[in-house]
Amino acid sequence: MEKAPAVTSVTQIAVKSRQSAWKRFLYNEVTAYLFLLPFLIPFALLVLAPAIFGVVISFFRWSITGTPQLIGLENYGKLFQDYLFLDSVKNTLRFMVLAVPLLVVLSLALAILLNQRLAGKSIARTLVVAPRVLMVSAVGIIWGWMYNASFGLLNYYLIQIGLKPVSWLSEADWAMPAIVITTVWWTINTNVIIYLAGLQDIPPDMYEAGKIDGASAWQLFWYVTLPSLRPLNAFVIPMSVIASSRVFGQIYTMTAGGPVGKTFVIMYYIYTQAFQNFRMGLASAAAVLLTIASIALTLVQLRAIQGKG
Amino acid sequence: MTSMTGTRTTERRHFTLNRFRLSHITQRVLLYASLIVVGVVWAIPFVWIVVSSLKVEKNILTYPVRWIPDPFTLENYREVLDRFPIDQWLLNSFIVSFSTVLLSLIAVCLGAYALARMEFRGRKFVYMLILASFLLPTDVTLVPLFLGFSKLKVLDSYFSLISVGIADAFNLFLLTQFFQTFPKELEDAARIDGCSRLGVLRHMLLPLSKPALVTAALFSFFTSWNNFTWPLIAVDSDAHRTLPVGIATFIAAAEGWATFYGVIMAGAVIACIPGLIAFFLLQQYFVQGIATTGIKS
Repeated sequence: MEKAPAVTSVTQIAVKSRQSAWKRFLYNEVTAYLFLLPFLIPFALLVLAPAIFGVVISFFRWSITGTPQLIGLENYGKLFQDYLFLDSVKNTLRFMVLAVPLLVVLSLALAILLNQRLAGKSIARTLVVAPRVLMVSAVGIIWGWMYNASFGLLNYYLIQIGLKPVSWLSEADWAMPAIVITTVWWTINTNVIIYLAGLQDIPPDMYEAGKIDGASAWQLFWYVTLPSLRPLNAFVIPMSVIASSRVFGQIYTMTAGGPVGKTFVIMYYIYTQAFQNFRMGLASAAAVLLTIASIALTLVQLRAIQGKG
Repeated sequence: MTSMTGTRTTERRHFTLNRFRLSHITQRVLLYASLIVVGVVWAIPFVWIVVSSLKVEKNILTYPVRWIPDPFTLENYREVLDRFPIDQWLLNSFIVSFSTVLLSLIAVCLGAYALARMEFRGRKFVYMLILASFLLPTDVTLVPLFLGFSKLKVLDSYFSLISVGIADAFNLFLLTQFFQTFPKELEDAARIDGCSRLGVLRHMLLPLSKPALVTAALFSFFTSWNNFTWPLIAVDSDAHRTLPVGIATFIAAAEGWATFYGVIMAGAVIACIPGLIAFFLLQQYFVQGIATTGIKS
């Protein structure tokens, strides 16, 4: 620390404090931002700027070669009249309606199961979590083979138990459920782990107290377990919804959006418009709509979850 | 067991479930049955694809289903390595993922330290801005990134694949939270003794942060390793293609499952191996990281 020299006038005081303020700024803010620079530069260039740019492009007509033309809201208008887009929204919603309840409820059930004192539960846990390290295309191949109409495992055992085999990936009604099952197998572990951690955080005395008062297992679940997990639900449910709305890889690998477009979801629409038809503006507009819908949905869900008492 | 007030006696050996009274034994049986079903359902796809990949091609498409490859063969693996540049794809994936992890961890550690420990103007704004990026689906950024890299003529390159993974907001928050758990006094003591900020980070915080760093590194690695959509779009030559995208081209090449199932399966198994090895060695870090996310949120 420097020794303050003797001060002889008010001006000198003013000058001195400006100097040390400058020094403080130099040391403090500049250091901080220097530390942040390696992160902020890629962040600004590769996350922020593209995001903003993405919104901007949505107001243009632009293929890669050629100059962008400003067309205002025309892309958005086109989207709402494009049956392909509207279909993709419908398919995405269908996926979400099937997948999200499974991802939330089944994961909780699994977490409870895997939390019991059972021999072999750590093996089961390992098996449930293992798929998370697989890449989407590998998952697509594995399950594509399971779903094979003639030689797939699923159909074989369906026949064994006397049911009719299903052309899982080529039948209009079953393609999406098939994708959902695959997705659940692959990704439910995230929610299971979160719920497991949450379950283990519940103090056992709460259950003890409940049992002493004669509560049934169901009552214990409803009045002890669920409320304790509410903060986790505020995370798990919106995350599952958002992730489901953006499903792509499995569909690309397993059904290519078929059969007859029954698994053609919003991300697929964006992909084909941007990288097959080179309609960048249109694709961006769809992406923007997806973002807005995601944010809106999340807010609604958070309100619903936290609003309950 | 009597309750505290002594007015009720409850036999804890009975387990009431929705009005059905199940004995303890029935309860255990049901639980074990469920556990087995879950284990089997989750394991079967893995086992089945490995078994199938070890079968001679003509034995793969058989009915009924056979679980033991007979004859047992590694021919599919040899063929997939011959027909497709899997080694190149593997190499590319490794290069991209390792570089991403390295660069990302450096950027994230420095940034997390600043956010966790430094007081500076704009701190809250920066924090909020990065938080906001979570709300942003990557879909909006795909097209602009594609256009941007395209204009700069660096689309089909390691650069385009690595750079997008460096600003990892998730790990930034993970480490910021983690650094904030260290007692400030330790640091202050070190700094009074003349240690620079960087020194504190390097010599104090980082050595003590190994678990968090491993978790962050794993997250970053797997996000990068399994990343599909961006490499699909950005790269169209095998020279830079990564494994996930490469595997997906099998199916295109096979014109929808035409004639070489065994090869495709061998390829899929190869793609799974690195991930599974890392998983079995480092299980605790995977689980730990995910659990922290959920709770901290």
